[in-house]
Amino acid sequence: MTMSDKGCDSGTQHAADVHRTSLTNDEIGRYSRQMILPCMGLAGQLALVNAKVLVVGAGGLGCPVGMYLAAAGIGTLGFVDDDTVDVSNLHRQVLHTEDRVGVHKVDSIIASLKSLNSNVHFVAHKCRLTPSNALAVMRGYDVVVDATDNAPTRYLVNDACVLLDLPLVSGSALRTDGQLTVYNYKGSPCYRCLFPDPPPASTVTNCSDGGVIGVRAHVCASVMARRMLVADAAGGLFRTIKLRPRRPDCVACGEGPNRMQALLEDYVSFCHMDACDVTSGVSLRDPSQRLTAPRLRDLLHRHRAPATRTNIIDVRPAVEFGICSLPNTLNVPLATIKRVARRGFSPGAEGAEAILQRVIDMCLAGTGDRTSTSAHDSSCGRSHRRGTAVADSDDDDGADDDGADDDGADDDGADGGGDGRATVAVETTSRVIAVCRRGNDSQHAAVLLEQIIRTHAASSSNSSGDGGDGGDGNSAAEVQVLDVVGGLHAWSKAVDPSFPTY
Amino acid sequence: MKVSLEFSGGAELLVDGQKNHDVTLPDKEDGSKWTVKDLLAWIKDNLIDERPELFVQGDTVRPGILVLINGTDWELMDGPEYELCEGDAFVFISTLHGG
Repeated sequence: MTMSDKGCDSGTQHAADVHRTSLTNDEIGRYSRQMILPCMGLAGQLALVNAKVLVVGAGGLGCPVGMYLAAAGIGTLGFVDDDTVDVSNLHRQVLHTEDRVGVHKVDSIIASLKSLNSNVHFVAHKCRLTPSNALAVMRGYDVVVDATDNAPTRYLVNDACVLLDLPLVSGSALRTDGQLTVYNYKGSPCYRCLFPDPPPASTVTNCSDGGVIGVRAHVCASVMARRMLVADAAGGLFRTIKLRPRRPDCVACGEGPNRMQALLEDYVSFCHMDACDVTSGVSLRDPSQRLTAPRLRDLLHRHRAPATRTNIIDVRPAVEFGICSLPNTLNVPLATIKRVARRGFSPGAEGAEAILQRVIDMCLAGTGDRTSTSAHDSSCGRSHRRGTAVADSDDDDGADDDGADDDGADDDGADGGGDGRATVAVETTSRVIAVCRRGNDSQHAAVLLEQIIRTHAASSSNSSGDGGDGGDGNSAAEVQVLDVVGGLHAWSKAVDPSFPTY
Repeated sequence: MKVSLEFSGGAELLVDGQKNHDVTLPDKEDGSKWTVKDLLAWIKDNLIDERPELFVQGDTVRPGILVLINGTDWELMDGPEYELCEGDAFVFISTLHGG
């Protein structure tokens, strides 16, 4: 066994570069079960032993790919990745282990594979593949496996393969789906022939947001096919697709004058998205409309604001809400909020839509409704905080109180920053707080909730014929909609470390 | 005319999370044949609730969606100009990037 740590600026040039023309008796014994297949034979095994394969990405696809390539006796196996092992990787990235959490994935995967097959020469490239190092890293390999997790790197790997004339085996997996394609091999198209333009960033979901079934990546990575393979674990379906030929006008591999002569300088801006599997933050709302997690805690703990009704709406999908949630929060998924924003409340609304309608009616009426606090009992044993959050009415004669007996100078206004909120606090008699996993969706939700409340207030006042400004309830402007910066992750970090993150 | 539609790789999220749709298309008013271009417009109007631009852009699908006609890349089948036949199966696959 040999191993080299190549860093980022050199490929496979190393002592193992000896062309083998025979196998040892040990090797013949070891690989005999595959060698007796007519399609393999001695020639096939020698081809494997002499092969140099680079796997880009040591994660959910890189693990099973590496496992089968090492087991089958590939001569040189390189891995590129700059990431370290996280505990949330372990359900699918099966070569990493609990005791290697925090270790470089490349070192971890090689440690596992060494114990599987010590005959393989492993090469560690502990770096992110970039336009400046890609050609140096990839040069010298015979085949490149794209096991990355993002679009910019996929375009980068493709372009480098075209420039170096290397075949590219590309796999991807998300949720229950997997896809596998061989590009740039014996006249087959390249990735850009199929996907000349990058997808809009908003349509690209990563594993940490979309989830992924481990065995899906595994199956996908384990299949080698010349055509495109699309696998759907939910439907138990494999589909092989006949793809278009190489595009003559492809900017990467085509014959036109526009064909690229070098890698792009910046794949991230080409794809309008980041080259890593991490969700970036959005910022849609003014800081005065947002709560930090500690401010949310203070609000939940304080009963001194009798006329302020606080409704916390958790906008995550029901399946995530089921994993863990804050006590006495109501689950109205963003998808439901979007639907209501688009179409209004449907007659006889049920489920989450009915909950949302009730919350908004309550807010606009300026009343509380204690019964709604029982709509959800928090799971995961996270309900240890007092149940003060939802429909936090002062008392049940709330129908009479409007702005007049507000919390006035009480300091539980929105922002926690203090500027410019006094007016808001005085006039606020109801508030809705949107919370989500990381603080992105809740901002979208809050914007939509404001819109829904306005629309709903207008239609209610029209139908009651009071012109909208003389009623007992709140006007839409008096209902404050807030969101929680950083969402439940921030809650776990800043307020309650016992609250699970996922 | 009856055709089957399938959305996968995440494209199903644009159509209420439902992967398979068996649909009946009405005869066109001018009597001309249905093309995939017409089908895309019909899907946009009848199946997609929000953000249709994540499915259709102009006369074609947005970048990153692969269209199969009876199991074959639509680029081998006249693309948007392909004329639909009774019982055709169309698949819209959003390309994945996870790994």
